Amino acid sequence: MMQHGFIAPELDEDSRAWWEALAEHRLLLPRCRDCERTWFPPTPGCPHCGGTSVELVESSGRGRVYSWVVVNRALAPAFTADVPYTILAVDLEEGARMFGRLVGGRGEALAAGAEVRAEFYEVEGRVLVGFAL
Amino acid sequence: MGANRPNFLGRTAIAGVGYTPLSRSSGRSVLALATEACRNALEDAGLEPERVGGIASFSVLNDSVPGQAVATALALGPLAYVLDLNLGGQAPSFLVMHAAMAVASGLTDAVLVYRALNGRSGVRVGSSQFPGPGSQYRYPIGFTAYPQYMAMWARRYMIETGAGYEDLAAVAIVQRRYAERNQRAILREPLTLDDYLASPFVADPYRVPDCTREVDGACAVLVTSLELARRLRHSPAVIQGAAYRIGRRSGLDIGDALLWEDYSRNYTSLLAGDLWRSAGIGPDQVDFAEIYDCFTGTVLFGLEGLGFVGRGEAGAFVRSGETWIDGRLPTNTNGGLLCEGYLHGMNTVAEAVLQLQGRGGVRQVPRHDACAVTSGGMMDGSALVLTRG
Repeated sequence: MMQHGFIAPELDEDSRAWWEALAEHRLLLPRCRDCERTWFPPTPGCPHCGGTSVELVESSGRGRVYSWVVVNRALAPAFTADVPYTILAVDLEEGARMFGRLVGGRGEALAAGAEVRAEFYEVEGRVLVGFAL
Repeated sequence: MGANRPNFLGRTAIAGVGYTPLSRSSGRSVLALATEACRNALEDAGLEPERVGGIASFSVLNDSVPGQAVATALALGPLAYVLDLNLGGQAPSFLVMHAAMAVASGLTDAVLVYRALNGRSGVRVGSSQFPGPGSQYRYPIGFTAYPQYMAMWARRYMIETGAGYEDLAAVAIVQRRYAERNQRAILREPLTLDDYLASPFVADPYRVPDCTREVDGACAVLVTSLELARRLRHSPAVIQGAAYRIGRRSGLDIGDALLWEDYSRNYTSLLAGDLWRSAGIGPDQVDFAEIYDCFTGTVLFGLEGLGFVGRGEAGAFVRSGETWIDGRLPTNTNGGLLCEGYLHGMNTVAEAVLQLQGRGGVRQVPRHDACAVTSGGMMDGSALVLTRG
């Protein structure tokens, strides 16, 4: 399932390093040096303990399906040609949740807890990350 | 959250409600809608405009007009209290709380609370993009609108509880039955299970009848001291309990739930303890409920979150008729936001007041001494317990 539509992300100083790594097909996650927890998306402090010593670590890209939605009606004009498509909520094994397109075939195997892995793809010159079963 | 009962409770009330007609295209300014709803609320209560000391409202994506403008058009003032919040459906019960605090603190005796928008012919929140730091992680991949965000929660709820499409359908169907009895409702045609199952998906698991109907219109309520309300036209809807809650790691903007842990429970689970404690009664002592329903799923979340039923039991509760007019807990008696129309939950509060006061007409619930109202669908929201004064 190819993604055609696109809305450009509005990067900020908290997210720039994450997007730059994604362009190199590296999926980074912020991690707190104090409580050692990992999360997403990048925030200036640790949302778990309030720690301020935050590093970016590379994710394995492996995770499990937490939930999903099948978008049957495009609610933004950019995605009219894409419907239907599936957005996954994936819990990465490092302990962060991400949203991403279900990419590749095997959509019929979609279920809660199903194992997925990150796959990088490009739309309008921007690298995005989706997940394949 | 606090150790003591908030001091505005039991001493403040909603004394009147006002509406404009609801439509798909009002052909009027938002200011005209807001002014009419506020004027109607004052006339409903029988309070002279010069007695109003405050005005409060909320807007999303700049879709409304400030209280200052409404006060000007109504020739109110001078005012001691004006509040314009940048919030969505979390706001109505929260604003009533705020108005009641202003009244109980002695700032003023009467505050108008309104929501006005051309929500169908103007800015359509259901398909709008919300700016904010979290937006960059959802819009590029086509995760762009509220029906999709809420469907993600509904799916997780279904996974965890075993609920199915028929549980969502039951909410849509019973609320349509109420709407058949509500002339103000924008959607009044009967809805059968077959109709429901034949309707197209918007964002699976949500079909068209699972989603609120965007409308043009306005709704206002008048918050006063209980003492003043007792001298007005209708029996007061006493503000007995109130709570607002935003959970931990609620995200970076009002559409961002990436850091929210449990998509099968919303803020109602978090504020229930405080709400009932503040009211001094429990869910068993409530006669009916008006639960914020931008989508069918939030009704199930609210019934469970507030403790009316146990975990995973809401679907069966609705399917067995317990939320219909002769059931254990009549719920969303105006047809809800699904059918009456999406005034972002201000009309949810107003319906509670009408029912408490015995003004529900052909949809009047038989017992109407106490009710619960909620505002909001996801990470944050507010709720009230109102009793007949």
